[in-house]
Amino acid sequence: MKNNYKIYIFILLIALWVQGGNAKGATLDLDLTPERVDIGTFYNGTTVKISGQMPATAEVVVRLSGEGEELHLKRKGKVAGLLWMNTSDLTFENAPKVYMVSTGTGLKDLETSAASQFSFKALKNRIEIAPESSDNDFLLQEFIRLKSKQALYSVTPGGVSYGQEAGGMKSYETTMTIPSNMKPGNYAVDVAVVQDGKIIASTSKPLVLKQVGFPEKLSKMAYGNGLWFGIMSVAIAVMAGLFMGMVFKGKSGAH
Amino acid sequence: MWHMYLPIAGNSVNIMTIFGLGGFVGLLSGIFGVGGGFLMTPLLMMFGIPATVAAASDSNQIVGASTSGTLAHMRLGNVDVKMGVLLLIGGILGGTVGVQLIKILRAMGNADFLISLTYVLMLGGVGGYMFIESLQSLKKKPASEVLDISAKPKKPSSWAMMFKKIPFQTRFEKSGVELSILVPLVLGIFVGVLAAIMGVGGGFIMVPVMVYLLRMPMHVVVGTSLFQILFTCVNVTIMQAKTNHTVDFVLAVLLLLGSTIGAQVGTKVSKKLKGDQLKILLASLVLLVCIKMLAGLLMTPDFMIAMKGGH
Repeated sequence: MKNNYKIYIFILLIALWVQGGNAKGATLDLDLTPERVDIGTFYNGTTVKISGQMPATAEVVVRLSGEGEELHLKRKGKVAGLLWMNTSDLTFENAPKVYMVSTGTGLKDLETSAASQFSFKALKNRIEIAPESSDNDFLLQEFIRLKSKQALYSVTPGGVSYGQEAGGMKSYETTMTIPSNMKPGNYAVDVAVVQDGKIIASTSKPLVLKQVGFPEKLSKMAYGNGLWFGIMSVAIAVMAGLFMGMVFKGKSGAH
Repeated sequence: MWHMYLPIAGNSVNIMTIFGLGGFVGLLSGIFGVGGGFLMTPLLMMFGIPATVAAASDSNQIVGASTSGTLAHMRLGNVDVKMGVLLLIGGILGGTVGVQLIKILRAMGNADFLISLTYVLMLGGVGGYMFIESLQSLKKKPASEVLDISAKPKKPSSWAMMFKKIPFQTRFEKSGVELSILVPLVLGIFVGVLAAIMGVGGGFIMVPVMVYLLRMPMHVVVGTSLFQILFTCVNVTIMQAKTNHTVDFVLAVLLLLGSTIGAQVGTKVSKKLKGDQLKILLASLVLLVCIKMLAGLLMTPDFMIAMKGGH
């Protein structure tokens, strides 16, 4: 009896898994290469390839986004009608670390499409700005500009290309640039397909950025034992200075 | 190729760029006896390093450059250790006061305005005075004493009179001056307060203070300043690494490679230049930074918001 019970559960789980897989997998799948980005000593940013199969008559939108974080910013304003200064503090809550969106060639106007939740405009509902003010829209716009300049936010209409249609399906593919200033951590790649004014399927895969080797060791040391790390940094700097001093002394002595 | 990832700054940089930056600032450090923090931090920020990491890693780099520079100047007999130690003690006391002052100012709001104002006034005042004074003394030889009168010749004598009356008079052999030990101590405190408010090492204030208020010869000023900066930056580096984790070791080492070489070359250049030439060059540099800051304050910024942190 007890064994039967286990088997039932097992069958049920399999059924649920197949069911779940079918619901998404039948119309849309997603390949992410690589799924893990290693940040080593000579790392200088990289690219990830996002591709898969989707319904031939639909349009696709791809988004790479990071976890929300709390950011402290300064607002600039004029003091005494003359000098531009940081005038007040701002807090942006739940601001995604990264927000990169790319759409299929037929989905140029993301904001008015059914996939508007993938646009910059959708950030308005996601990011909370404190203190509350009447020009939050403007502040958000400035924030997006600032993040765009750091290459962490972007919207690329038509950035996803399609392949040949076959059996009602077609392939899609895009390459996203991972800038070197993208922090180590967990990110998500979301893909949605739009048809007849609604999202008919969506799927997601995690992307991990991880420091490895030398950078990883240094980070661990710097955050793990700051005092020791500071003393070591100073010692090495002093030794480098003394060494250079000796090298140069040798030179001038030969004159 | 040629790129290296900075684990604390969280960005990668071109090795040659950072090496070059280090060399340039090390050169200035060796010539003028300034740490160069007031130049390096903004330059590093231009290459995508967060302000806090730029400032802390730079102080780590200055440790190397000033060790190298102090050693070179010591061989040339340019370091007044007694004066340096007194200024250092004053500087540390002043720095502690300055940090508390900043806290109070921040609580009252608009600390940033006061910081920027201090920057522009100090840079403009110090740079302007040095520039005019050294220009006049450079011209002095062909011209005559007419120019000398406009250079406020009364000021040093009244200073000297006042200094003579302060107790604890002692002789500073290397600098060739006789002063109360209280004078460098108090001036050290003053520079320490300013440096803490402005978030820099204070070399570019300390140098004019030693030249004009302590009346030390320019070459001894440069060596003594470097000696004092060395210890200030050792302290800052360890504190920053301990409390804020903002010292990027890779960045500091890359900068060091350039700056220690630059510092040695700078010391040689410094020896070749006359005191007045040194002064006028430093004054021009300080004025340039002042103009850049002023322009930043007057021009409409590119972004109406900014990430917090740094200077």
